[in-house]
Amino acid sequence: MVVIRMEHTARTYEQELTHLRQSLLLMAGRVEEMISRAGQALVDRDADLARKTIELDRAVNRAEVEIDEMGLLILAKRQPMASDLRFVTLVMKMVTDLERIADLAVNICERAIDLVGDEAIIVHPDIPRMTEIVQTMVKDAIDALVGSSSDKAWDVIKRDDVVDELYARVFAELLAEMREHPDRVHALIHMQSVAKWLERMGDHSTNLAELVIFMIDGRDVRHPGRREI
Amino acid sequence: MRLGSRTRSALVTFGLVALVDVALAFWVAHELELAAATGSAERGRTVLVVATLVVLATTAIAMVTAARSVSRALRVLLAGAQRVADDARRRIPQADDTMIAGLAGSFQQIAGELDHALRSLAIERNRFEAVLQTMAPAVLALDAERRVTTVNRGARRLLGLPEVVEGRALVELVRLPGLHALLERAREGHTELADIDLPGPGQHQVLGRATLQPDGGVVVVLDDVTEVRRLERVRKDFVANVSHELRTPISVIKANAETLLEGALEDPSAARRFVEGLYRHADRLSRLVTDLLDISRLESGRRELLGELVDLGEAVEEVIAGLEGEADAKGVSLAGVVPDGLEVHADAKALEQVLFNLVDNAIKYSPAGASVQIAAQTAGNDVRIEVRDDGPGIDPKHRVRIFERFYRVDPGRSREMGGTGLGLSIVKHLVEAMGGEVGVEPRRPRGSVFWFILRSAPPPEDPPDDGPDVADDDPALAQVPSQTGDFR
Repeated sequence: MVVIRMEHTARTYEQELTHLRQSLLLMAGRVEEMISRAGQALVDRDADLARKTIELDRAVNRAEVEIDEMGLLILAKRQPMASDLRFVTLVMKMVTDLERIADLAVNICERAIDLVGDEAIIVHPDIPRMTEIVQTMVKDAIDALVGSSSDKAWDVIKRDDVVDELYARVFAELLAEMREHPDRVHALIHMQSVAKWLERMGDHSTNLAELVIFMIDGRDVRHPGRREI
Repeated sequence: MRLGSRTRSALVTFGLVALVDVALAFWVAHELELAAATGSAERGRTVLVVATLVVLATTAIAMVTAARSVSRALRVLLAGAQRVADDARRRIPQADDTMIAGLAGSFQQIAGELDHALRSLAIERNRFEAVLQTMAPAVLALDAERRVTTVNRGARRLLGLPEVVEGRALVELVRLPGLHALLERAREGHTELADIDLPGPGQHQVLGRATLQPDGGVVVVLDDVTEVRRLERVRKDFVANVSHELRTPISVIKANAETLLEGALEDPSAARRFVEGLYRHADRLSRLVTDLLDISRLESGRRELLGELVDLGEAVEEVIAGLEGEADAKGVSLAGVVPDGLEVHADAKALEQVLFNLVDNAIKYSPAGASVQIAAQTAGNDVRIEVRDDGPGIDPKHRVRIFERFYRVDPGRSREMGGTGLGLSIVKHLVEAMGGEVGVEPRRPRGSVFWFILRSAPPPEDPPDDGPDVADDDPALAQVPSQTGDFR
């Protein structure tokens, strides 16, 4: 009788871990979609798409709370050890970064709505590229978790440098344009904010990748001094 | 009734054992009588012990014989069944016992039917697999636990799936929220079509349908409609734009003519203004019709382009000479930097038209004091020609559509400048007809670069002028329509 009960316990524990993992994956999928749509809404000055994307944020927020609760419950009830413990705490940290990325996507959507009708302002040509890189960074960080590939996660961390460089360039060019066209400063500041948010998304994606490396290799690579170069 | 040899020997053994036992019974009865008469209890005991031993021995012999007879037949049947299980086409050896032979026969029949069923199943499966793999839409079959059971090539391509997918949870492979929402709705029994966006480069749009299976699994079919949607949009915009472009000059001409007829003709100063308006819009209409006919001829392949080696530097000089006046009037400087003697495989007139349209555009959209440059560089067999300006640049939103007919970044402004909205579309058609590519990218720190790529030599697959024999021998070469290197 005792044996059967133990087996049952073990099975639901496995199920709980799987459920936690799959909830995280679905949440990440939503966030990836939000980044892509926010970029599209900005480029197309599509207020409708921007509003729909902002609505998606609610599902992401809900997912964050649910996954956090699920994680806490597993910690309290099951007292996981070793890699299970690492996994549960990792997931609870990842949802925070994912939620922040979604918030930044919402900010971009709000700017997209502000810029509707302002056809004179040109979306800086590097912004679509930054959006694409950031979106694939999130995607690859999560894929690294799915495929247990720390190489892939390291690649995400390297790509953050590209995003930082693009941001520096966009910033310099927008600044020069502001000096030349003081009348356009308002719109150009919006554009600068968008670039900054994309750069922040890149940082959060790097956090995701670092957490994944910690999960796979058990190594903490969060601060540059501790990374192997 | 046919009996097996083993069974026969078993029956004979049973008979002998029975005879021995009957004889024994008579002997025992006789001996016991004698023992009773003589009063020898010792003798009676001995007789009973001997009799018991004999009965036991004969019974044992009979049992062993019978068991061996049955077990051999069963062993044969078992081995046969085992072989059927391994390979349905094997036949079960004849058993030599009637009952067991009957069983074996039934078994054989089952084996035959099983074999037949398996074969037709294999044929059916192969056919299904061929249809599934060759169809363009993506197909995914999932079990009740949302694990992948089957995918086709279309699904692998569209969703970028890894090599091994069978048995893995779908969410581990694809995280598209639209797809998971579709599955959720299918679970509730809804099967309507739904739009799903694929994030990332290309911004693919997919139309999906999911159907719930009796076992709780789901079959999902996804159709990539990105190109269809794009073409729909282009067609809709074209129809709207072309009517607008044609109607505007016509209504101006009509209004001016009416005003003149209603009396303005008598007032020479006003008449001149209206007639000038008539001329300007008639001219615009005429350019529009010429451009439209150009595109239509290119599209239908009625405009034949020559394939010859053209000196690029000369073509650039020609175009600059033609547009210098316009550039000067606007205060835009014009410069061409082309390596000496650089040749491209092109139609001279078409090349000039392409360059003219691009440079003309660049001048039109550049502010006073700006510069427009024409540059060329070679990369292998390709020559990349760029027209660079430092105008306001083109928003990423328009970059993908700017080569469409009548697509205007800023409709009011470009019409004011006298463009027909067809210049870039003609450029695209001409370059593609010459086997090249065309595009636009942002310039640093500002402005745009319109580029096109042509070959520096005729494409290698063109057969030599005197090569019909080769073409006849080689079916691949026979497909090449042109023998002279012209673009048709």
